[in-house]
Amino acid sequence: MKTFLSLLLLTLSVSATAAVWEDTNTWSLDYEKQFTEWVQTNNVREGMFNDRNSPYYGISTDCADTAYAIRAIFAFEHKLPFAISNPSGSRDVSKSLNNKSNKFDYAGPENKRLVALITEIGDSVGTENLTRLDTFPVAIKSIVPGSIFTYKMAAKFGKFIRHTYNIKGINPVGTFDVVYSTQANHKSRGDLLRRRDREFENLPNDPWGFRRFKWPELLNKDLSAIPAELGPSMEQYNLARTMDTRTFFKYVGKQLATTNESSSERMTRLFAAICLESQARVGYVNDALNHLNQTGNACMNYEEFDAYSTPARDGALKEMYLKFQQALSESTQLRLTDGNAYAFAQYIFNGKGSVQAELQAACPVAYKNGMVIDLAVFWKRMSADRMSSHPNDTVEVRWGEKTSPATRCKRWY
Amino acid sequence: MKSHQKLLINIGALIIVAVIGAFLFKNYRPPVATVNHGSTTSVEKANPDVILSKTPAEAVTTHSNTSPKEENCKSLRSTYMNIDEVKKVEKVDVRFVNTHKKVDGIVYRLRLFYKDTSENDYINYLVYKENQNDEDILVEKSPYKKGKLYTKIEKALGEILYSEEGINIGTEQDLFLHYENKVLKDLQGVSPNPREKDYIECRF
Repeated sequence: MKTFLSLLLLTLSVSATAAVWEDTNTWSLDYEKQFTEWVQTNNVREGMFNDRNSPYYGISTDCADTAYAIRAIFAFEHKLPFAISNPSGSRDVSKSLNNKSNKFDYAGPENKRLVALITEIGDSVGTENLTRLDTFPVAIKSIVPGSIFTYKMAAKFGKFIRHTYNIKGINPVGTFDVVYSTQANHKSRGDLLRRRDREFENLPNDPWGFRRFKWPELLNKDLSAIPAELGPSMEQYNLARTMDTRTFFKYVGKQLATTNESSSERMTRLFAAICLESQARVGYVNDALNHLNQTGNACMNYEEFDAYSTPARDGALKEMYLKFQQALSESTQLRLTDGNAYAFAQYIFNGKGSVQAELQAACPVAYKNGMVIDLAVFWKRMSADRMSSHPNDTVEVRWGEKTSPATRCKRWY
Repeated sequence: MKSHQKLLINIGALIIVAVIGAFLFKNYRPPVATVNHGSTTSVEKANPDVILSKTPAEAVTTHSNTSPKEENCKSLRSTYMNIDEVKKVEKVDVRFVNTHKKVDGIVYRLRLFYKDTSENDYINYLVYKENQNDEDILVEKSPYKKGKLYTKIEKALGEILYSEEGINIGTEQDLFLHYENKVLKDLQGVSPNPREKDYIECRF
């Protein structure tokens, strides 16, 4: 009887504390290959945290958290170790936050402990930790699905914006299929965002750029400790110093492409991209307008301004238009003038042709009841700096239909 | 006391002194090499074992055939070894601060860091409480402003067990310095050295 009770107590004491998951495998080049393959499957998709049938239901992430979550889930699924530099500080034994911790026992079964771990990571880190401490830069040729792209760009008033994209796939022409999230998306518990044909607009500058996760045993180690097969390299930073943004990403695209993209295909792709992002602006502005309806048009405080203003997104969209304009110029010089997208570009940037109706049908931007504009009107307003990014402005001022009366509410940055 | 007894006592005393002297001599060591904010004592230079016990990159910096990068790291380490001085003379953007503080027998970890948004970032204050296994349990999250517990622990008298800080400096905020217990651990970014305006990463 005594032996039985002792065994029972021992069993209970063992089950009372448990790792988030037990790792029985070790990271290797083969597992990295499997990670690359896994990221491309339907396991990683827009609704992976929101579908009730998804095993990862209940996770909510912003930009950097999404990268950590994807890596942690793969490690969990494959019984691999997972560790990041301990966000709360690496004193003595607590060098990392990892799957071996039993502090998430309160969450219940293993999959819930995984959710708890990911949630705590989301609560305690941002893109800065991800970029500086837990990942390493890779050579252009070593960019694979599962790599991330992080950037830091200057904003107004000496501020900086940081963001993370997760590369889900690399398209045959060398562009990226990415999933990501934002703080606003995290708050609304929306699906992950996805852009299937993304080109980036921010030049790498150390340590920001194309990166891959470090294996747990390589945390706090420098680049020389990373297996050469994973492509640790400062190449992108050295290249970026000698090229402008468009040239750099064109080079990256060429290095990763498996097929040649014709001029017409490139124009079509760039047109689709500006259409998608121009239409997405309707959602951003409407979110602000809905918020104003709820608050009786009260001036937004810092936090609200943060959530509903659009200066950086407007800047990125303008850059996409300029890229499309450059592609038009190159196609014209080469006399490669086939295709609808070329005709649309001529109309948008030079007012040439009579394709207004076709352009509006191809990409209508309906920003308020009874008001639909085409991309030529959009660009005319944007290039003239008529569009307001201030979330307290009226819908007409936000879209450059009018430029007054401008809001007198504070612009926080 | 008889003379032969005195003699025996004197001999015994001499033996004791000799044994103690021999013991002290045998166990004598030069002063322990110390690293004080990146600068090393002369003992270290005389003791090759001290150099070998360091990371290879740092060890190499003590040789005469150091690479320009290593020289640059050494120079930057010297420039930025004192975080308090750096804060006085540079434009500093603090990215995260971790402080482990023992208050009334309980160890708390205070963390300040930034979450990213589409247009900006915003400050977050966290408090962790260590359990009996020294594990950090997150007990308070407070975006934008310090929470009640954070403020209380920050103001409380207590013993600082550990500190960690990550800062960006420069007009473009493009050099990152990482300190643990006020000692520079690593740096990343654009070298401010005008002769070598290049990306650099150093670990110390």
